[in-house]
Amino acid sequence: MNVETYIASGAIEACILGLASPEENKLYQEMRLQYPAVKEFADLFEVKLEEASLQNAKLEPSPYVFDQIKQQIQNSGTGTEAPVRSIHSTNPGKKSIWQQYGVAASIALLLGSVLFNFILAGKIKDLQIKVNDAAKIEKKTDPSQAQFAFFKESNITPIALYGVGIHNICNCSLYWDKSKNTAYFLIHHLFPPGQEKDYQVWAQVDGKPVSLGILKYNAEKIPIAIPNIPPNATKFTVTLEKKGGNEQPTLEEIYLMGQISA
Amino acid sequence: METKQYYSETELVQLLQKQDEQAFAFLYQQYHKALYNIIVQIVGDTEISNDVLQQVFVSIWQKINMFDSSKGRLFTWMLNVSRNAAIDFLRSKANKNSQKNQSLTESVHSNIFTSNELLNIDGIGIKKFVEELKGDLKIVLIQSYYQGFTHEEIAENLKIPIGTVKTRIRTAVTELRKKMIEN
Repeated sequence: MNVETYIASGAIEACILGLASPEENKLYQEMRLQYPAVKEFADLFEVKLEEASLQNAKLEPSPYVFDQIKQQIQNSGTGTEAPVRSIHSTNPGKKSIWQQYGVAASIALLLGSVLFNFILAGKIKDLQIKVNDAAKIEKKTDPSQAQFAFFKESNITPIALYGVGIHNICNCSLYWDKSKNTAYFLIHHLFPPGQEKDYQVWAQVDGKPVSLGILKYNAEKIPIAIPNIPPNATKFTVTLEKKGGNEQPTLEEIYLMGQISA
Repeated sequence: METKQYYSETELVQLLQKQDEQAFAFLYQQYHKALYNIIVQIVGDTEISNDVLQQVFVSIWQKINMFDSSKGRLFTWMLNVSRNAAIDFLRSKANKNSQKNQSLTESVHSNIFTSNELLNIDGIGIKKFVEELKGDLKIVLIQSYYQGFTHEEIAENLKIPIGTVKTRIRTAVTELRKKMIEN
């Protein structure tokens, strides 16, 4: 095959972008090894692809992803395709490399996340599926898990609580069992409130906020039961308040908000 | 242990293949954002994309020994791992939806178009250059690269012969490369 014709055909770019057939990929690898001009052309395209991908990346993932990757690698044990070393620090007096990157990444990503606040239509369904899946996993690993029993109730109303403003990476769900006037709060992403503060949950009833009490924060993704939900509540809000809560919500400290889907 | 700020690609790959944690942390710091952005463009949901990104980096950690630097750059390999993971997610979601009488085409299309509208992700990564392509070239590239349709599926979607799909993809990626190099 004429090398120049091959280079001009678009076959190399298609292979690099993952848009070629196995046969085309095989030919590309052969041409790449055989002809330096093909390799040179491919290298330039790959460098440009990397540059464009790095330069134009706007969105930031959750700062918790790296911690979750570490956990998953730790938990994957020896059943993986490659041997996995422990990622525990061997020097307890010093922060591990994971921690150093985690903190830096958290700060950077938190700042970047301010730019992107959005609500996706239909997201509540995905959230419910995910939580249901999580519940199934929990049940498998811990037979004593009764906390997720409320999912079986047919009249549960799911409400997605989205982060507000600069807290837009926060994300929680509320599952309201109207027959029992109880809702179950599930934390997906929410920073701990700190020693001097508490999260307080509010329902909107006839346009006015009604306190549902202090959120008993837990980082273990265990559902938190909230009793005495007013039957005519239309919206739910979570604010960060002084320890013990306030009589009225601090509007500047609204972290989460969600309303019942129409 | 001091955090190293830069590795050559060869050095980075060698360390990763020895399961070096510091090199992996560096890899994440360098590339997580670029890979997350391509995942969001395909999946159309930033929250789910976090989960896909997590799986991608776990896969990279576990499968780094399968990476062969004689076949291409590390980033290209990671980009394709990410794209494949995101498309696998779309496909599995489409399969679930199809059981609820929604076709795969409808499901995948609604996902990508909803995401474009709400997330404003058109200027991200190489999409910036894809958007500049002519309409018929752009649509085949969006359907193949971002929506993971096979050539046969694109032919069916657009009611054009499969040979035309292949030709348009080749032309589209050639134009894309020119725009990226001119930039």
